[in-house]
Order: sequence, then structure tokens, then C-alpha cells
Amino acid sequence: MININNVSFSYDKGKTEVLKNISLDIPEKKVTSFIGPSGCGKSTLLRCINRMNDLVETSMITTGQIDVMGQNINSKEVDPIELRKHIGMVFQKYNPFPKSIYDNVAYGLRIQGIKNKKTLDQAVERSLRGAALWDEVKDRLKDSALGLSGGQQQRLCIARAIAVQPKIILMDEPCSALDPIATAKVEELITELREEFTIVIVTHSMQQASRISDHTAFFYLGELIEYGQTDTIFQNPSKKRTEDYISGRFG
Amino acid sequence: MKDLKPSKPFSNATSRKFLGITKQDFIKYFFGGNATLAVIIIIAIVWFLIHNASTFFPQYQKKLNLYRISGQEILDFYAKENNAVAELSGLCVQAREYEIQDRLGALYRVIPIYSEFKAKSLKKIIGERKELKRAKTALSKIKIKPSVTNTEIKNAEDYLNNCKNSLKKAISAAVNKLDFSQVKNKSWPTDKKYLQPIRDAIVENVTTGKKPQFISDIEAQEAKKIAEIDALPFIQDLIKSKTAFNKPIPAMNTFVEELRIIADKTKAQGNKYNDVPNTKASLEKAISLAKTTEIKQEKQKELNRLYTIEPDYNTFIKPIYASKESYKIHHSALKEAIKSGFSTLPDTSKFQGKAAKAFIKDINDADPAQTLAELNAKVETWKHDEKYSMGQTVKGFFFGTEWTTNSSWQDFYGILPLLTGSVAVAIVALIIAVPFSVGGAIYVNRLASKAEQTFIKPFIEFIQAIPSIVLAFFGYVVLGALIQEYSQSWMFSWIPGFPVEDQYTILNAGLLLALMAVPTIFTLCEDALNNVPKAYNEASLALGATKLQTILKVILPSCASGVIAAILLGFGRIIGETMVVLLVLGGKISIPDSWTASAHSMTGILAQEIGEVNEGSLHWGALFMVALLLFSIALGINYVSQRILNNYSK
Repeated sequence: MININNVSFSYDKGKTEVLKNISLDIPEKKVTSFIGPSGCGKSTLLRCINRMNDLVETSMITTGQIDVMGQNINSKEVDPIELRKHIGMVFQKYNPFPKSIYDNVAYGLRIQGIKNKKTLDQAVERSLRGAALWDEVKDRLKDSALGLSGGQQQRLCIARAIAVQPKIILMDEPCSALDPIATAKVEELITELREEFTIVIVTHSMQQASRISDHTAFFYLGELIEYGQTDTIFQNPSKKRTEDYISGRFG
Repeated sequence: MKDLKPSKPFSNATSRKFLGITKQDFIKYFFGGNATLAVIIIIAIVWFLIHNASTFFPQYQKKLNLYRISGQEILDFYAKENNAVAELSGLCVQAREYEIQDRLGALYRVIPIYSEFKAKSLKKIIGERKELKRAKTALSKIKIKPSVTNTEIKNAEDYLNNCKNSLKKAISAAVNKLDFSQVKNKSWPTDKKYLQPIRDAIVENVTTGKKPQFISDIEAQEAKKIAEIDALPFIQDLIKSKTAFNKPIPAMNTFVEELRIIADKTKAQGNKYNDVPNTKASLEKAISLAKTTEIKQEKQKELNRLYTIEPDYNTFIKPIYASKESYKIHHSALKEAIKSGFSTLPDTSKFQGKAAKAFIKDINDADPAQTLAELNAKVETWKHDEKYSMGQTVKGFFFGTEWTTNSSWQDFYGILPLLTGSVAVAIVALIIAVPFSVGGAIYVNRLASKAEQTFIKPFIEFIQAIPSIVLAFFGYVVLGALIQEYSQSWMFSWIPGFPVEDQYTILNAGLLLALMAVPTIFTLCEDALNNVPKAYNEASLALGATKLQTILKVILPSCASGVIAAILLGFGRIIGETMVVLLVLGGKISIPDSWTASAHSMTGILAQEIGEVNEGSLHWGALFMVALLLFSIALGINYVSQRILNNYSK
């Protein structure tokens, strides 16, 4: 699904590299988690996949290429707007718009020009059900999204992302601002979403990675140290550094 | 003591004190004192405004009562009836004038263009003309010399001829550079066939000093054409209408003028009587302060002479009540004039000129019979001893359409023309400023590169540093003339209110005030945009929205209250501005009927009139009422925008 081939990335026009020669293939309809200590480049790699790094003017991929669904996403003929329509993203800090719950979920569809009320209603219900939020908010769809609890807001953001029916969902530490109960709900949701979407998740919690992901990649100082089946990485890592990190000896 | 220190490690005994105050306390009291002072000053200002304005309504009520009891009011009703009809006669005259102008076309403008061009080319040959003059005086001086040789005379004559020739050359060169595109008023029709004759005529006039034959011909042509036009049946009808409308006017005028003398006398006595308490108080004070007995006696005499009996208004008003009989005759004459005037009024379709048509339409739209009937009803029910109530006085100030001061007849203090002027300018300025400043803020905050940001922002903020008088000068000298000139162009003729007739208009002042409001709105708007969390931007972009969609659908809605507050504060900035409106608004005290008309403003009237009124007078009170209203508006706007901002930041 996502083929990352020998990618190096820099935020300052190639002076210093934040990612160094990363290669990994992310399979379809699986959960892949990126783990590693802070500043190891896992979030940067995630944001390369939907080209959110374009917002930083001086950023660039210095070598290698990223193919999503078989197409090089950094080639000139790719429109990042179109790309992002197919790759949803959920952020570390839940960030619903200061609009109603309904308008939040419908936003992605509306900017694509869909105005039909019925289509929107259906899409909103489907997405909210998909995000396991429907039963909690169905009576107050017109209320402000900012009135929801933190966990609900994050699930609303997931609903907003899946409303446009992307192929891939990128999650950047989606549970780091949530309490354990809300975290459990989101994790449960992720395991359900696996049926439909390819999910890439950045997390600091190794338990979380081991609980929800099929594959795990361990990064350290901009390098990919180890990548493989989650079970293998956690039970039988081939590299010393991975083992140290997983067992909590550093990080 | 030193030894004790270790045992009391947290003691404050070490900090230095001055008069028992520590440094921390001093800072606290200093800033606390400043804040208290600011509050006290604001309260003092409000008190001062209210104190000075409070005398206004009672005084104004008294004046209005005198206006009524002296009979001035009913005479104004008479005069208004007369004016309503006289206006129609004036409109007829203008319609004829403009119809002639339109039918003559380019011919009508030949002489004005000739004069304009002549003045222009004379400026270019100043040197030659001076030289010629010198040559002439030299020649005449030589001629009266006792011993003069023929050669000397000849030389002088030759030189004079030379000068004449070079003058001719220079003026020919100057006029050849002229063409119709240089005419100041671009809306004037021109005809190429007149260009060369105009040039020749200027040369002829300058070299010979005589009136050129061409100009005389044009005058004759014009006179002939005008006579032809006047002979047209519908113009004949128009002239008949004008005469009919005008017929009863002079008689009615004399009738009213004669009565006015009586009313004026009554009013003067009433004023004197009303002033007695004030005069008495000041005389008594003078007596108590007098140094010599002589002065004391003199003042005492003056005090005894004071006119302390109330004027007998009921007797004075009698002739005015008696005049109602003759008024009825005049009134019916006016009604008759309206009827006969309208009966011959030609149809609009017969006129060629747009302006003439508009004047005829104005006549047809006017309903003088209705005006007359209303005024007549007022005259019938009018009673001189019916008092003005306080409510009527207050209404007269807030809804009065007349602001007349220093009048020999009666002063009126109606704030509506000033208020509408101020508000109209502010609205025009906002309409111009808001797109620029909000758009600019969006661009700088969201779309511009770092380099552009560092260039644009200080530039816009610098506008704030321009002194308002400098901007006002610019509007007074440059902008007004520019607007006036370019608005004549046919390209803008579809805009209502165009072409602009005056230099000093709401549009002109609005443009300058817009420039002054831009930095305020821009800066506050940019702050509001800055406060929008970055996460909204990212979330929207990650959903596949374009930058524009993100700005319009997420960023702007989430800082709408900040933008509205910015606009309101811009409005506050504009409505309090004085210098520009004083110089550039035109100073015409009437409710503006178009956004390109002249007007006056509340701030302008304050600046203009406060220097020339006596403290404590009615006019003084009126100005303070205006100031109080202005203050309330500014306070209200600030309060509302603060509320909006607070709600938004919650």
C-alpha cells in the first residue's frame, strides 16, 4: 500500500537530515505502528506520507521516494489536495473545528462540493457510527463540537477523517492527550477500523503498539532500526537497541 | 543584630525602606495610583460634559417658546408656503437653461473653452509679453525726448516690431499645442471644427488686443439659436409656467417681510426680559466689588433701569393674528399659481437634455399643493401662547433637520444633519476600508511569504503615523480635484451620484478616513487571525481542503467576532476623527442626499464653532450636547466591541 524506498528528509533544505535512508513497506488493511524515543523522526515520516510537511517551506525529501497505491507522491503531477483526500489524518491534540458536530463531520464532504442534504446525513451517521460515537451524540448533532469530552472529541476527529472515505488513516499519537478510559475506547475503535482502512499510527506507548498493531517499526535518531511483525519485534527483537528500548532500558 | 540573622533566615528586615515603604510597595502604589488617576479623569470628563450640556434643553425650550410667542413661527409657515412655490419657478428657469445648453452642444462650450485656453497659453508667454511692454514704454519715452534722432526712433520701433513678432510666434506655438483633451471638464461636448478657429482667435486677441471676429460670430450664433429654442412651443409653455409660478411670490414676500419687523421687535423685548436675571446678577456683583461710590451709584442706576415687566405678548401678537385675513388671500393666490403653472408645464418627453428632463421630473414629483395644505393646517391651529413641552424640545434636538446658528431671525439646533453626515462618512469609509484591511490581514497572515510579511506589515502600520492634517491637506488640494475630474468620465456614469460636482464631498473624506482606518482594522484583524489555533489549519488541510477553502470555511468563521470587533473599532476611529472632515467634507449643514454630496459632521462642527461662542450660552450648551452624543457613541462602540472580543476569547 505504502512503499517507502530509501527516503531521507530534511527540514532545512538538506543541511541536516531528520530521516536517513528509510525503507519500509506498509501493507494494506493492517495497523502499522511507529515507535521510538522523542525526536527520532517517526512523526516526520508520517507527515511525509500525506505531504503535510509541505507547510514547512524549507522542508524537502533529499533522496528516495514514497509510493502510495503505486504512485510516487512527490512527483510533479501529484496534487497534494487530491492526495490528502485519500489519506486521512488524526492529530495528537484533538482539533475539531468550532462548529457543530454535524458540520465537523460533513466538512470534508462539503469542501468536495457535496451539498445534497440526504447524502450528507447518511455520511455523517455512517462516519459517527464508524467512530463509535453515534449513540452518544445522535441527539445533539447541532451542538458545538467543543462541548464534547476529550475522548469524544478525538473520536469525532476520527469520524471526520473517515467521512471522506479515505484509503489510509494516519494517526499521530492519537491517545496521548486522553485518559485511560478514553484511550481504551479509541484503541478499540482502531482495531475495528482495521477491517476497512490501512492505518499508520505513531505512538509513545509500547503497550499500545503491542496491543493494536500488526506491524511495528522502531526508529532511533532518524534511522529505521527494525521493522517487522509486532510479535517478533516485542518478543524476539533482532537488534540490541530495540530490545533495550522495549524493555525500558532507555528512551 | 548580625548574629541573629542566621536564626531568622526569612526575615524581611533586610529590605530597604523609604518612609516605611518598600520597593515592591512603591511599584504597587505607583501603578495603582496611575490607574486610579485615569478613572478619575474619565469621570471628570463625563461630569464636565454633562454639566455643560445640562443647561441646553431648558434654555432651548425658553428660546423656542419665545420663537412661538413672538409670532416668528407662524411667519415661517407663511414663508415656507411661498418658498415651495418659488422653488418651482426656479426649477423652470434651470430646465430652460439646461435644455439650451444641451441643444447648443459643442457651440455652448466654445467661449468657455476659448477663455480657458487663452488663460493657459497666456501663462506660457509671460516673458514675451513683458518684453513687449518694455519695448512700448521705451519707444514712448524716446518720442518725448527733446533731442531725438530719427535713427533712435527707428531702432526703438524695430525692436518693438521684433517683440511683436516673437510674441506672435510664441503664442502661435503655444496654441498649437492645445487640443480638446486638455479641457478641464471632461464632460463638455466638443467639436473638432472649432479647434483651429479657437486657436486663431486666441492669437488674434493676444496680438491685436481686440475681441476676435470668431468670438463675436459665435455669440451671434448662440443668441440666434437661443432665440430659436425659446420660440419652440414647449419652451414657450415652460416660460408661461415659470411666470405663473412666480406671479404671487413678490407680493407674499413683502407681506411676510413687513410682519417680520413686528415679530423681531417682540422677540428683542422678550430676549431682554429673559436676560434680566443674568444682567441683574452681574450688576449686583459689580456693585459689591466697586471701589468708589461713584461707580456704585452708576451701576445702581443701571440696575434700576432694568426692564422688569414682562412684555405684553398678547398685545404685540395682535397684528400677526390680524394678518391671517390677508394671508388667506395670498394663500389662495399661491394655490391658483400652482394650478395654472402646472397646466402649461410641458411634458418631459419633449426635452432633449438629460438634466432638463431631471428638472421637469423634479417639478412633477414635487407636491406643492400638499405642502401648502399641511402648512395651512398648521397656520389655522397655531396659538402663540401654547408652550413647547420638554419632549418637543428634546425631539427638536435629536430629530431636528436644521442647524442654524448666529441667525438674526431664530437659531435651530437640530443634530440630524450633523449626525447623518458623520455616519454617512463613516459608512463610506468602512465600505472602502474593510475589504482592503480584512483582505490584507488574511493575505499577510495566511498566504504571504516571510519576506512579504516583513515588508507589508510595517508599511500598513506606518499609515497610522501620518498626521491627520497632512492627509486632510492631501484631500483638500489633490484628491478632491482628482475625483471631480475623473468622475466626469463616461466610464463611471453608471455609478449613482456620479459625476461628482463638488471637490469636498463624503466620498473624498470617506476615502481619506478609510486610509486612516485601515491600520486599525488590519492590525486587530491580524491579531484575531493569529489567535486561531494552528490545529484548525492543519486539520482542514489534512482533509484535502485548499488554502482558500480553509481560510473561508474554518479560519474566518472561527475568528469572526474578532474581525467584527476590529471593524467596530475602526468605525470608532473614523467617527471621532476631526481634521479630515473639517477640511474635506465641504461644511454644508444639511442631510446629505447622496454619497457624493457635501455634508458636515459632529466633530467638524465642534472644532469650527466652539471657539466663537460665549460660555454658558445656548449655542455653547448645544455644542456640549453634540460632544456628549459623540462621546456616548464612541463609548457604546468600544463597549460593544469589548463584549464581542470577550465572548470570543472565552
